[in-house]
Amino acid sequence: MIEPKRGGAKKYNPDEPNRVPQTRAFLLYLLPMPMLFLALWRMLGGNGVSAFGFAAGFALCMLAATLVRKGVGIEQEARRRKIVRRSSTVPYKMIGAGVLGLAVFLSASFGAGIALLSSVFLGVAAVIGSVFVYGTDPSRNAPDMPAVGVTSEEVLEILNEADQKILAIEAAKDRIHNVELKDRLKSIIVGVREIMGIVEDDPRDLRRARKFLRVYLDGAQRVTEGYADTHKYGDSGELEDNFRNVLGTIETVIGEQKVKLLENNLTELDIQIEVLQLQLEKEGV
Amino acid sequence: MPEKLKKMIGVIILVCSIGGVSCVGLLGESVDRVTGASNDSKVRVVK
Repeated sequence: MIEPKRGGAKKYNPDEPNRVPQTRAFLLYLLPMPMLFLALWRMLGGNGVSAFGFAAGFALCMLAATLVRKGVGIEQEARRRKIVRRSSTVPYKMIGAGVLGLAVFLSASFGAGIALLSSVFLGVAAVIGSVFVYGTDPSRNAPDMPAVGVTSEEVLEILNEADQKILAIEAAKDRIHNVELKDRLKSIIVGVREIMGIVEDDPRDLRRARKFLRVYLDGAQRVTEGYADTHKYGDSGELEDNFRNVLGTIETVIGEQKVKLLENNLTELDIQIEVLQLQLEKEGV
Repeated sequence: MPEKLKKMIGVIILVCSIGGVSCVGLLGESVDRVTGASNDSKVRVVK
């Protein structure tokens, strides 16, 4: 009997965060290691020029790896968050590739005593290799937000803090055995993620969501962790009721916050429509 | 060019360029040890 072939679609899991494959430029840290050994060996052998070539090459390779790693990190964060850091206007990956090329040239020319033209060729090859493996930096037209009143760093910092708090709430939730409370915490987490999504889509909303993401979420984390810790020592009806009340308040605040953010977007849309209507009337359409 | 192929080619280029320099350095060291020549290639040629 032939079994029906299952589709390759991955099961949807709303709890799973949007994961991006992690590349940390380990290759660039690993490959130049023999240069360090060679630098020491040549130094002991009394060949100063060669030792300098390999030592400088090794040091620059490490610098290049760090720069490329930073560039990769910024790109991964941008893909995950939809927001690019302002510091990403520095082309870390390309600077890293250039430094790597220089490192290979120095160690080839001075360290290994390879002819000048061949050393240049090796340096250029290293630059091309780095660009092929780690790619180029994201577009320089990163959405800077001077008109919004918040910087992208500020938005990312608050969102990352909120992420940490959510993780802490999730960890505390796993220690609670009451199914009803667990479900309510789960829906609270979903609500917070929705608010974070709204802020990511339009960072101007951060002005209205800042207090929620900093103060209320912090309170929710402390209360949940406190309950989970106390809960270990036995069930107390009063404690559970109090925690239920707090959860109710948090749910209400989340609902209000969402309405506030969406209402504001609608108001902005209304204004845009009015402006458009005025413009149409003015142009006699 | 597919992204995976590009990455593979990039890794090969990186290994060949960075690793190649180290290999030449190590080989030069070994040759010098066998021939008893100096580390300076010019001096080696004269010898």
